[in-house]
Amino acid sequence: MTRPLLETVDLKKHYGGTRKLLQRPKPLVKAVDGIDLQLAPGEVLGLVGESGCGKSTLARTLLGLERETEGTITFDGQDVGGRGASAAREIRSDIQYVHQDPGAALDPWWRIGDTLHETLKIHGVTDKAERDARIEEMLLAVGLNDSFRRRYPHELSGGQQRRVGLARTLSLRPRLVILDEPTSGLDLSVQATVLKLMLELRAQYDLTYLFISHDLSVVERLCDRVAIMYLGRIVEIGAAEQVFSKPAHPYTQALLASAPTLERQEAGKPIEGDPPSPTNRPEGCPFHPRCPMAEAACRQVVPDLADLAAAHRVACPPALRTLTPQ
Amino acid sequence: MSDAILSVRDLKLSVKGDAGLAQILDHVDFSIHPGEVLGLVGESGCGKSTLIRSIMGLPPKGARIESGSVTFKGQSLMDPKIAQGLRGREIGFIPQDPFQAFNPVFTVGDQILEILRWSGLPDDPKGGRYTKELRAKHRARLIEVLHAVQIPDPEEALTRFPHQFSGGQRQRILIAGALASRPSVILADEPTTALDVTTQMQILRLLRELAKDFNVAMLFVTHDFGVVAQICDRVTVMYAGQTVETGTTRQIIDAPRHPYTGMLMACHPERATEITGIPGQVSSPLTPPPGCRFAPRCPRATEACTTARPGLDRRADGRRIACIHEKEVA
Ligand SMILES: Nc1ncnc2c1ncn2[C@@H]1O[C@H](COP(=O)(O)OP(=O)(O)O)[C@@H](O)[C@H]1O
Ligand SMILES: Nc1ncnc2c1ncn2[C@@H]1O[C@H](COP(=O)(O)OP(=O)(O)O)[C@@H](O)[C@H]1O
Ligand SMILES: [Mg+2]
Ligand SMILES: [Mg+2]
Repeated sequence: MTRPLLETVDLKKHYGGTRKLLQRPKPLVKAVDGIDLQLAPGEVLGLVGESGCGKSTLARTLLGLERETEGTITFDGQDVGGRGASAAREIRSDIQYVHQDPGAALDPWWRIGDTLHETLKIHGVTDKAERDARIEEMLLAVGLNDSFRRRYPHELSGGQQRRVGLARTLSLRPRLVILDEPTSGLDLSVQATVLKLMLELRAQYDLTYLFISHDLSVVERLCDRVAIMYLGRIVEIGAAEQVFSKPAHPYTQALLASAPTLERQEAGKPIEGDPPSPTNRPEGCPFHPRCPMAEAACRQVVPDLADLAAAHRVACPPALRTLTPQ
Repeated sequence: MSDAILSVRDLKLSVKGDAGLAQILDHVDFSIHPGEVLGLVGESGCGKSTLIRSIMGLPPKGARIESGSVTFKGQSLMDPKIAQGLRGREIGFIPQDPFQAFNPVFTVGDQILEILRWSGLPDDPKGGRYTKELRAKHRARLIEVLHAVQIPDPEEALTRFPHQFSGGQRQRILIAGALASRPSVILADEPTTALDVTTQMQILRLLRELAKDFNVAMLFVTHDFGVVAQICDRVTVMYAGQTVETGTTRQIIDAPRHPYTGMLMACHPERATEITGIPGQVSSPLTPPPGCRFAPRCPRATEACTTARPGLDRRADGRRIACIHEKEVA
C-alpha cells in the first residue's frame, strides 16, 4: 500500500467506568475496543455492523469530536491523536462528516444558501465572494440548481436534503469524508441516484471515503474494501469482492444470509439472538454466544485479525483453520 | 378463489388543507383473501400509510372519500361505528417504529393491556364492565401470544419498561399485541424498516409462521422487494395514489410488466446492472398530473397517457395492470 491517508493503531474509545465524587458509577462501555485501520488515498472503505456495534463512535473519534481512550491516529503521516475536541478538529480539518439524517442537521428556519454560508464562515472562509463561488460550484456538483439557495429545508425531498448535506460537507474541501449511513431511510430508487452521485464526486474531487452502513448491498456496490465490525472490534476485513464472495467469519456469513434476496424465501436458520450490547460483553470472542462454530477456546480468548489471503484478514481461529490449506 | 376478506374498491380520497386539495388516493383497488399475505409496494409519498389509516377507519383530518369502498367481510369500514368495532379486534395493526410506539414511563404489560381493554377480545362478554377477572383473562391471552412470538419469560416481560427491550423484542411484543384478539387481518406498515438486517430476517420468519399458525391475512407495506420475496404471496404496486399492478409475488418479481414496477425492480441491487435509480420524484398530491400519474417519469409515455387514467385491466396471466402500452403478450 502507498502511504495510508488515515491510519489507526489499537484505537479505543471507552465510556463511563469511572467514579466521580458523590456520583453513582457509570457502567464501563467499550464502544470501540482496539481498531487497526488503514485507508489508502482514493479508496472507499465500507464499515458494516449491527446497530450499537460502535460505528458512529469510531466516526466521532476519528473526526476528533471525542477523545480516544487509547491508541494512535495518523493522518497523512502526521500524528493527529491525543487532543481535545477543538484542537483535534483544527488539525483534522481535512476530515469531514456527512450526517445520517442531513434534514435534521439543517436549520429549519434558514434558507439553504444561508446555512451553506454559515458553515463556511464557521470554518474561517471570510471572503463572501469566495463563499458564493464555492456554494455555486458545490450545488451544481450535487445536481441542484442555484434556486435551491433560496429554499427552506422542508421544501426539499429526502434525496435533495442528502444532496445539500453532501454539498455542505464538500464545500469545506475535505480529503477524507466519513459518511455515516448516508442513504438510510431513502427509497431504493432515490438511494441509487445518491450513491451514483457519491461515486462521481469522489472521482471529481479526489476524495477518500469511509462509508458506514448496515446495508450490505449498498456497501457491495460502492466500496473497494469492507470491514465488518462486531462489539467495537473489526472481525473481518478485505477486498469487497473477496469478503462478499468468500465470507470467512461466521458473523459475516450470518449478515450476508440475513439480507433478503429477491430469488427465494430464505429457509435456513436465521442468526439467533439480538445485536449485542457492549455493557455486558461476553468473555473471549464477542460473537461466541451467537456463533454456530464456537468451541471452548472461543469462550476464553479474544481473537485477533490474522491473514487469510492477500488483503483478506479474519479474527476467527476456527475459520482460519478450516479455510487455510495445511 | 375464495371470497375476499378485505376489499378496497376504486378508492378515491382527498384531503382539504391549508395548501389546497391533496388528491392522495386515486382509484386504489385490490383485495385480500383469508390467510393471504399481500405486499403493498411503492416509493415514499405514494399514499401507503394514508391507505392503511383509511382501512382502519382513521383517515387523516379533513379527508373526504370521493368514491369507492373499503369492506371487511362485507361490512363497510367507511362507517366509523363499524370500523371502530372491528379495529384492534378483527383488524390488527403493527406500526413501523418499535422505538416510538411505546410510552417510556409505563410497563409494556400495562400499555398493551390498556389497548386490549378498549378494543376488547372477541369472546369478552358484550357490554360488560372492565373487571379484575376480565383483565386477568386478557393478561392470560397476552402471555399465550408472547410465547408464540418467542419472548422468553412473558410473565416477567410484562413488568418491564420499553427501554429494557431491544428493537427486535419490542417489535415482537407489538406483534403479540396485534395477535392477542385473534384478528383475521393484520395491517403492517413497514414493520421491519427500522430494524437491523439480522433482526429483520428473524421478524419476517416469525410473521410468516404466525400468518400460517393463526390463519391471519396480512397487508404488508414495504418498499423492499427483497422483503416481499420473503413473506408475501401476492403484491400490489402503487404509484402516487394509483394502483398500477397486482400479481403473484413471483410474477411481479420475475417479470414486472408495468413500467413503474419494472423500474422499481431495476433499482434493487440484485437486478441493477449499474447504479441508476428512477429520475424525478413522486408528484405532489396537490398537483397530480392528469391521466396516468407515472407518465411524467415514464420512458414509454405518449400523449394518450396524459388524457385518461388507464383502467386496471385483468390480463390473461391473471394479473391486473394499469398501462395502455402493456399490451397482451402470449
Ligand atoms: N456518549 C456515550 N456514553 C455512553 N455510551 C455511549 C455513548 N455513545 C455511544 N455509547 C454506546 O456505545 C455503543 C456504540 O454506539 P454507536 O457508536 O452509536 O453504535 P452504531 O453507530 O454502530 O450503532 C452503544 O452501546 C452506545 O449505547
Ligand atoms: N393530512 C394530509 N394532508 C395533506 N397531504 C397529506 C396528508 N397526509 C399525507 N399527505 C400527503 O399524501 C402523500 C402520501 O403520504 P403517505 O400516505 O404518508 O405516503 P407513504 O406512506 O406511501 O410514504 C404525501 O405526498 C403526503 O405529503
Ligand atoms: Mg450509528
Ligand atoms: Mg408511510
